[in-house]
Amino acid sequence: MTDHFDEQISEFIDDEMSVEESEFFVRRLQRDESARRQYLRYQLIGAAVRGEYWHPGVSELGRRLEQALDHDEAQSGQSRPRWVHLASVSGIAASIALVAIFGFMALEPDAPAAGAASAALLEEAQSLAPPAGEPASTLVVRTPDRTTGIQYMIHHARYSSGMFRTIAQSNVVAAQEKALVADFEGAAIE
Amino acid sequence: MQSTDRKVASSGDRRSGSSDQALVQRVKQGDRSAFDLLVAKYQHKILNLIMRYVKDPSEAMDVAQEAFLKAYRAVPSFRGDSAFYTWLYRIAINTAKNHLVAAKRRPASLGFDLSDSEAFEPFAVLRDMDSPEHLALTDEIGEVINQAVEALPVELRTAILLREIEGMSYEEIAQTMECPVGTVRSRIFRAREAIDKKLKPLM
Repeated sequence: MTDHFDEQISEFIDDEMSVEESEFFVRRLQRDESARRQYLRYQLIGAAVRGEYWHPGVSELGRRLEQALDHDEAQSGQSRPRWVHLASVSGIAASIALVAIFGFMALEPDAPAAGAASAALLEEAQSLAPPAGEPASTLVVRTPDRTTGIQYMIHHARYSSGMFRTIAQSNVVAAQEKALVADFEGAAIE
Repeated sequence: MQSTDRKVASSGDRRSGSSDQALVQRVKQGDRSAFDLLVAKYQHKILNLIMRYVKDPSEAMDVAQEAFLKAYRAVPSFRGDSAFYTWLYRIAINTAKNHLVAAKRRPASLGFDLSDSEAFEPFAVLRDMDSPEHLALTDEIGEVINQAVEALPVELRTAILLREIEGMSYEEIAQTMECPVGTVRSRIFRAREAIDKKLKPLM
C-alpha cells in the first residue's frame, strides 16, 4: 500500500470523497485485505478518540452477524428472492394440474382428445386396409396402442391411488378396445 | 467556543455521507463485505446507544446484532432520504425498545439527554462485567491511543480532534486552523498514521 492510498482511506472515513470517488475506492478497498485492516484500525482510533470505544469483544459482533446472515441465506434458499421461490412452486403446481387435466381428457372416450386418437387410429387402419376385393382375413393389423396402453397402466398402477387406478384403467381398456374395433370395422367395410 | 458549536451544527448539515452511500450501494448489489465495513464504522456508536437502554453488555450485543440484521435486510428499501446513520440509529433504538418490551422491563433511567455523550461511560459499565483479559486489553488499547494522541505535534492533534470530536469537515477545519484544505487532509492522515503505529502491535 502506498502513502497516497493510506491517505485515501483516511479521506474516505471522513466522508471527504465524492460519491463517484467513494464507489471506486470501496471496490479497491474490498480487494485489499491489508487496506481493510487499516480501515478497521482507523475506525477504532476514531471511536477511542471520541470516547465511544467499546472493547475488543466488539469484533465478535462482526463474526456473529456473519453467521446469522449465513443462516438467513441458507434458510431463504440460497438468497433467492421470495418471488423466485413462489414462482417455482407455482410452476410445479401448474405443471401437475396440466398433466392431470390432459391425462383425464385423453382417457375419457367422449372427450375431444380421445376423438383425435380415434381419428389417428382410423387413418392408420385405412393405410393398412387391403386393396378392394382382397379378403379382410389376410389383414395384419398392428395393435401397439392397445397393448402398450394397457401394459403401461398395469405396470404403473401401483404408483397411483386406488380410485384413479380403477377409473383410468377401465377407461383405457374400454376406450381403446371400442375405438380399435370400430375403426377397424369401419376400415374393413370401406 | 460558541463559534465551534455553530460550526459543528453546520457540519452536521453539510456532511455528504458519500462513503456510506457508496457502501450502501454495494450492499444493495448483494455485497456483504461492504456491510461489514458499515458495521465496523458504526458498531461502537450503536453499542453505546443500545447500552443506554440495555445495561447488560451481552444483551446489548444481542440487540446490536438484531439491529444490524434488521438493517441489512431492510437495506434494499433504504431510499437515502435520510443519512444512513440516522436510519440505522432509528432501527437500533426501536430494536432496543422492543427488546425491553419483550423482556417486560423498563428502560434504564434516561435522566439525561441522549445526545450528551459525557453522561455515559461505556468503559465504566463494562469494567466489572467482562473477562480480565478483555478488560486489560480494553484499557491498554484506550491508553495507547490516548497517549499517542497526547504525543502528537499540536497541529496534528488539533486537526484530528476537530475532526473526530467536533465532527468538522476538512473545509471547516481549514478555516479554523487558517490553512489550506490539503494541509488539513495531510495532518489528519499523519495523526492517524502516528497513532496506528502504536496501535498495530496490539491488534
